[in-house]
Amino acid sequence: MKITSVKANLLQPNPHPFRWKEEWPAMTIQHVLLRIGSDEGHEGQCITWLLNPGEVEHALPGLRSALVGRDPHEVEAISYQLTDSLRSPTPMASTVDICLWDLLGKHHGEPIYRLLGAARNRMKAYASTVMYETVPEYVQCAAECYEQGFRAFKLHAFGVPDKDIEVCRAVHEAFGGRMDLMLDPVNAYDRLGAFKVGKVLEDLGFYWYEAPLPDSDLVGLADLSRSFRIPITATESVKDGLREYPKYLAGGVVDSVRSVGDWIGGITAMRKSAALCEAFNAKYEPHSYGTTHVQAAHFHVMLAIHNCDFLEIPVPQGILDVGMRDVIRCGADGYVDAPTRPGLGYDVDWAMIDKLTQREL
Amino acid sequence: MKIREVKLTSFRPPLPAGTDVPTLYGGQSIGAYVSDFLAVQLITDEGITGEVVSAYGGLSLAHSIADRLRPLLIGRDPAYREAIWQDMWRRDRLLYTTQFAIGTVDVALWDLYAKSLNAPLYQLLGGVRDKVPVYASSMEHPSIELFVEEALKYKAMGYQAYKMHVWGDARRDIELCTAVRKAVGDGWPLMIDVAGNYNQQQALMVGKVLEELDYHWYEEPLRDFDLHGYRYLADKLDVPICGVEVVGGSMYTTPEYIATRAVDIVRADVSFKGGIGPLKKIAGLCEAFGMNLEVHTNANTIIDAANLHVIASIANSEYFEQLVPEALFTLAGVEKIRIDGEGFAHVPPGPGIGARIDWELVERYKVCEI
Repeated sequence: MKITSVKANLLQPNPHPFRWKEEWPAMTIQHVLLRIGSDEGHEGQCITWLLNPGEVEHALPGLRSALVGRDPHEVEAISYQLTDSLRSPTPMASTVDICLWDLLGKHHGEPIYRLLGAARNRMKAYASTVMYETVPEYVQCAAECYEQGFRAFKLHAFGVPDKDIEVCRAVHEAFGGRMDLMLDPVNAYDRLGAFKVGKVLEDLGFYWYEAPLPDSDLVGLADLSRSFRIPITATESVKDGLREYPKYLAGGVVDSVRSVGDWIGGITAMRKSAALCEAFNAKYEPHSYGTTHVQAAHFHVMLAIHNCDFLEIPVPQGILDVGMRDVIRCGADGYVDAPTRPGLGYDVDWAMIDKLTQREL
Repeated sequence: MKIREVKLTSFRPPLPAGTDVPTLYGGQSIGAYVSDFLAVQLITDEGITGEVVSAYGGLSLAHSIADRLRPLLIGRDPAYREAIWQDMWRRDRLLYTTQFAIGTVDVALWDLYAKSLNAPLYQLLGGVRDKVPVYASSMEHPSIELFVEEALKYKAMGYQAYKMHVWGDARRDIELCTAVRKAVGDGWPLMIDVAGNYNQQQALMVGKVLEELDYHWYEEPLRDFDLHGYRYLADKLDVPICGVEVVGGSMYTTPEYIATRAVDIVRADVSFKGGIGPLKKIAGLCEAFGMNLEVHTNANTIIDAANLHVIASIANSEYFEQLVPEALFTLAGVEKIRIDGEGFAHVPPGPGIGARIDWELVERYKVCEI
């Protein structure tokens, strides 16, 4: 099998403005469909949400000369080449890696998690919110998620300690004991704020406490990890990924490691990160927030490891399911079944892609 | 696809004609290691069979797999390799599975799955290369001259380095290392493997000489469990210290050695560490720390081919280890692993592990089948 084409559709920006904490203004999400074709007629595809369309346009000529004629089975070598041996992974290289695994799955007629070595075929999911303006909106959102089957719920709250305590208490009062609860203030607190919120979350029995401090504050994170019984999880903003994680594990800085696989080098890099965590007997809890394909890329890694508890699904469900015929939805029992089709296992809706495409490269 | 049957055939081929019983470390015979094997076959309902020949173990390994692992395998889909591995691993706490049992079975599982997709194993693992630099890895010889002769022979054959299993007697080993370096000249990589036969003072003394002689790595100078001894050596020596291959506990015991920098290079293989899955994971662990994994090989063409597939799928590894004389360590295969004149070992072509088991040999020297 040889790669014959590398193409991209630059899609319309997402109409929904996204915000995950107060200090960030609402963001516009751009979408690109990257397509890597083979001489067998298969195409590896990934619709992105963290990739700048200008970056894609700039990178395409170089990618074509690096990829065309190669066998996608050389994914480890190709990913190394595109990331300076994983020292400098990028969203672009990560997307290529995901497309290559999709292509490999399609070539072999297998969902990716089986190629990796399946650990299971379903995962418990948690609903992952956007930031709302008011506390009642979070409670309302949790109620809707519970109705849909979710038995775990993560708040992207305001990123302001006192306000976050208020919203966590409110959601806990309504759903504590019925859903596992997590909080992600996206690195917004200082150390005093992080301790103040952590104490409350521990009392409320939250499942984990995510990204309370900047990921660069290793001393602060280590202090939190030692001080609280609830797990501290972080490192999502560490864009270099694998090579940055050891200090968090060897130093007892975090209880579990989080990754944005679509930044740190895709499935190849996530698989290594999961192994690193497993060797340290730590959980690897990558995010899976993003488009359906980005969710799926993470889902497959999670299905092939046992040291991960949850699949993350953005809510309201569907807000990032751009251009898809198939989507990931939480089942009535709070779980999501593995896809059965080859590769990533979720097909695009070509009529929709045609409509959304602004430029084809 | 489901596993229907686990067939275990122990066999004991004689040493090849013209070879002596190999010894290591002051005359200890390792004859059994190169002639007491177990062929494992995972037979499925679809007619595809995953198979491998163990590194050592023979009949005792067969009993261990039959009693403790076979029940976990029957009816399973080989796509679920991580799930099966975790089952074997967790239960091992109480089952006291024989060393190599889990690793051998895991290799057969990966062979089976790759065959079901008609793909070479290293390509499923994510390929980096299809050939790997090879070094010759010696047995113990009675004299310095014989080591020198062997080093020169493999250098002339294009091998890219030479590793000596030294005597484990520090003063004699220093003489040996000095003589071999002098004979092969500067610039050609040399390593030694002590297999844990020095005490800490001897290890330091030899290490200092290896530094001066520009040895490429210094392997297992102490017993692998001596974590503090390793740290002491790694602190004091510049020559890269290499170890942990025989530490139990699969990947889970390696972080302490890495994080405290007790070793500079990690050793592991599919037999000791529990198979393809864990070996690939250890490579990821090492890579995160910017370190290399050098894969141990040993007993026969089939299990070594499995090791070679993993090496071909990782970038942070330098060499394939070929024990010599090759005739002693290339039993059980229809063909040997091809080593070219430039000193590269080629991944066997074909689906799965690729290396074909010599079933005629297995049948001829069969001890029993269970």
